[in-house]
Amino acid sequence: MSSTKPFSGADPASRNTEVSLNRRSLLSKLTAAGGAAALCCGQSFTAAAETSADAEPSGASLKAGDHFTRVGDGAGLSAIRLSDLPAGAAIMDVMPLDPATGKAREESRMNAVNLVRISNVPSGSPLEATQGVMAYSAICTHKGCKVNSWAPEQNRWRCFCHMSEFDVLANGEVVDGPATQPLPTIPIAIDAEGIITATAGFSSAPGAAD
Amino acid sequence: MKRRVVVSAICALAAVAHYGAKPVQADGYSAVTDERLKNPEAENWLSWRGNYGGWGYSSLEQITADNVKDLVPVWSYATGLTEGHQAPPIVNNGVMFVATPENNVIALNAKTGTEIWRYRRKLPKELFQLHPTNRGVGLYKDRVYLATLDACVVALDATTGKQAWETCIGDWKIGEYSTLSPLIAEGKVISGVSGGEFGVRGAITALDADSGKVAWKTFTIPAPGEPGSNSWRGEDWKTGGGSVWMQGNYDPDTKLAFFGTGNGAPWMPDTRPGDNLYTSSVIAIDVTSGAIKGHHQYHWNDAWDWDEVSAPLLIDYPRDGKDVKGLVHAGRNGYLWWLERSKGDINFVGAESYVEQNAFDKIDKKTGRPSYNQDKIPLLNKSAKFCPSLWGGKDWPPEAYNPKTGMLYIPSHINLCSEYGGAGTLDKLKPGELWLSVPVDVVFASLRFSDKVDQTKPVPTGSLQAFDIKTGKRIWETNFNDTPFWAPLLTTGGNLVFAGGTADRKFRAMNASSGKILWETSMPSGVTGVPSSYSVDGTQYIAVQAGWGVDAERMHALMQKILPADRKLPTVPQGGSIWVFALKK
Repeated sequence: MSSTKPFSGADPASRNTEVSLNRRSLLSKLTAAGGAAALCCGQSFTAAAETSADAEPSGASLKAGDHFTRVGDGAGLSAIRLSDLPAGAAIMDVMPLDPATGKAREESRMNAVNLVRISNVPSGSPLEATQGVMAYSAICTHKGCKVNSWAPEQNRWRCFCHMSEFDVLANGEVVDGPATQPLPTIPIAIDAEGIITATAGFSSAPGAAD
Repeated sequence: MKRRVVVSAICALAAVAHYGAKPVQADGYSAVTDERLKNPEAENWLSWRGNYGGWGYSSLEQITADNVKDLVPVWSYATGLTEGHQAPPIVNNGVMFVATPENNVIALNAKTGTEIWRYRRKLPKELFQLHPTNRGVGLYKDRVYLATLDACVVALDATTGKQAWETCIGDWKIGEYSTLSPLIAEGKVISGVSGGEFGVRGAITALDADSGKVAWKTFTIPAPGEPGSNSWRGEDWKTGGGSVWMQGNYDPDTKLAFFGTGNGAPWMPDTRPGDNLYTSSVIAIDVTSGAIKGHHQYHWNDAWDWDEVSAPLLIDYPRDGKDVKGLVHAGRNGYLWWLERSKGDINFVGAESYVEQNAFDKIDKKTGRPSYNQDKIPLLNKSAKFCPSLWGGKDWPPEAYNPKTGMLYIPSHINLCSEYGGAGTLDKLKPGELWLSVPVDVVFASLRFSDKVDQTKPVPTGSLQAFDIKTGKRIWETNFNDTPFWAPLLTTGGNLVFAGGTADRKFRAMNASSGKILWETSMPSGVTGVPSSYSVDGTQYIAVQAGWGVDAERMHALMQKILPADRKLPTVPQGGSIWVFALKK
C-alpha cells in the first residue's frame, strides 16, 4: 500500500461540484424509478464510492381483503375480530393475514400493523362504520422502529425509540418528537363475521421517511 | 441557565504532550502509521479522542483563556441529515473526515470546508435505528474505517472515498448494530456491537486493516466453561447484553485495549440472577490474540440500565506515595473509579460518587465491589426510584483530561433520578424486537427529580465537574439549570474546556482552571458532537458538529414531562452541521 497519494479533488478549484449535485439529483430520480441497475449506472459519475447492502425484501405486501393476526405467540393464526378489541384498547404489532392461504404476510416487518378502537365515536363520524376501529402502520416514519405504545387518554401512538407521537384522530399526523411524516393508515371494514378487514393497502409506503 | 463556580483552584502538572514524528508527506495524503497513532502530532486529531489514552486533549495553545473571546466561525457545512451528530471531526494534515448519522462520511479541506468526497452507506430498507448516530471514523495508513448501523465495518480509500472492503461483524436483524468509532491498533480495526435492548450477546471483533479478514472475535459474555461463566444462570448468557458501543482506549506498552461494556439484558436483574460477567465492566483485551487478560466489574447484576461502555482514560496518577499506572472512569453508575492497569489484571484503587447515588450501600475498600440498597433495585414485580437516572451520572459523552491543569473534566447529570419496575412477567425474546422487561409506557414516564432539590425553582441538572488527578478531589463545577447536558468535552493547552450539550443550543468555552464561561455561541441545533482541535498553516481551529438527537432528544422529551409550565425547555431543532472556529484576524 502506498504511503502517499495525491488527493483527488483536494484542490478546491479542481472539484466539479455541479457534477456531484447533478448526480445526486439523478440518483434520486432513478431510485424512485426503482432500479438497482440505475444505481449501478450512476456510479460512473463520481469518484465517491457508494455501496449496496444485500438486497432487502421489497417491503409491505398488505393487500385489500387481508385480515390481521397475532404471530409468534405459539397459538394458531386466527383473524382478529371486533370483539377482540374493547373500546379504548389497542392491539399492537399484528400482521396481515391472507385469508386465501391462512398465512401471515410476515416476510417483511414493513407489514406490521397497530389496531386501535377509540372510545366515544362522534355521531356522524366515518368511524361509526368501523365502530371506532382504525389500523395504522406499526413502523415509525422517523427511523423505522416499532411504534409500541398506545396512549388512550390522548389518542396517540408513541414510539419508544425516539419518542415521536402520532395523532390517531388526525390520520396519524406527528404531534411530538423528531418524526416529520404521518403514520400510514390502512382503510378497514368490519365484515359480516366481525373480522377486521383491510379494504385497501397502506395509504403510503411504511418505513422511515426521513 | 445559571453557572455556579463552587471552588476555584488548580494544581497544574507539567505538560507531557507528545508532538511526535512529522507526517510522512505534506503535499499528498499522509499515511497514518502506528507511530503516529502512538504519538499524534499537535496539529492533527487522528482518532476519536485524539490519543490512545482517551484524553480528549489538544496541546495547541494559540487559542487561550485570554483570547477565546475573539473566537469566530471560519466555515460551516450542512450535512443535510437529521438526528445525533456525535462524531468528532478527525483531521490528518489538513484533511478532515466527519462521520454522520446514516453512515455518511464526508472528507473536507480542513482549512476551507470544501468537500473532497462523500461516502453514503446504503443501509437496509428494513433497518430500525434505536440509536441513529455514529461516533467517528478510524484512520490507518491511507484508509478510513467506519463501523455501520447494519453491524459492518467498511474500509474507504482516504483520497477517494471508494470502498476497499466490507466485513460484517454482527446481524442487524437480531438487533446488533454499531455506532462506535473503531479502535485502530497494531494493524487491526477493532469494533463492537450495540444491542443491549434487543438481548444480544456483546462482542468485540478485530479485523485485519489491510484485508478486512477477521483476526479474532471475543464475546463479552462468557460461554459455559469459560472464565466468568459461573456468574450466569442457565441459558441467560446467550441474551445477556454486555454490548460494546464506545471505542476502547489502548496501551501500546502492554498491547492491551481497555473496552467498557454495556448493561445486562434484559433490564430487570431478577431475569438473570448472578454477577453477569462481563456486563457493566472494563475488560483488558490483548489486541494480538483477543484474549481477555483482566477485568473490573463496576457493578454486578445491573438493575438500572447503567452501561459502563465508556473506556477508562489511561492516566498515571499518584496515590498514597505511589505512582499508579492508572485507569480513570466516570461511571454511569455515578462513581468516579480509580483503577490500576498492568500487563493483565486490573486492580481497584478507589471510588467515590460524583453525583447523588443512592443505589449503592457501600464499596468494598479492597475489591471495589458495591453492595446495594435493596429498596433501590427495580425488579420484575417491583418498581423503585433510584439516583442517578437510567442515563446515569455520565452517559456516553466522554470526559477529558488536561495534563497541564492536572484535571479530569466530567460532563455529568445531577439531581435526576428514574423510577420504574418490571412488567411482572418476562416476554419471550423475539429477535430484533425491543426486549426490556419494563413496559415502554413506564419508561416514557420514568424520569424524576431528586427528592433533595426544590423543584419549584430552576434545578441544576447539567454539571461540568473538574477533579484534581493528584488528590481525586473536586476542584470546581459549572452547572446548568433545567436542561439536558449531553456534552462531549475537549480540553486544550490554552487552558480551555469546550462543551455544548444544553437545550439552548450553545457551544461554550470554559476556563479549564476555574470553570468560568469565557465564550459561547448559538448553534443551529443542539451540540452533542465531540469537539476536536487541529491546526493548518499555523492557525489553530476548534471543530465540532451540531445536531441534536438520540438520547439528548429522549431526555428532552422526558424532562418536559416533569418541568412546570413556566420552565418548559425550548424546542431544539434537528439538522446537522459541521462548524470550525478560529481567532478573529
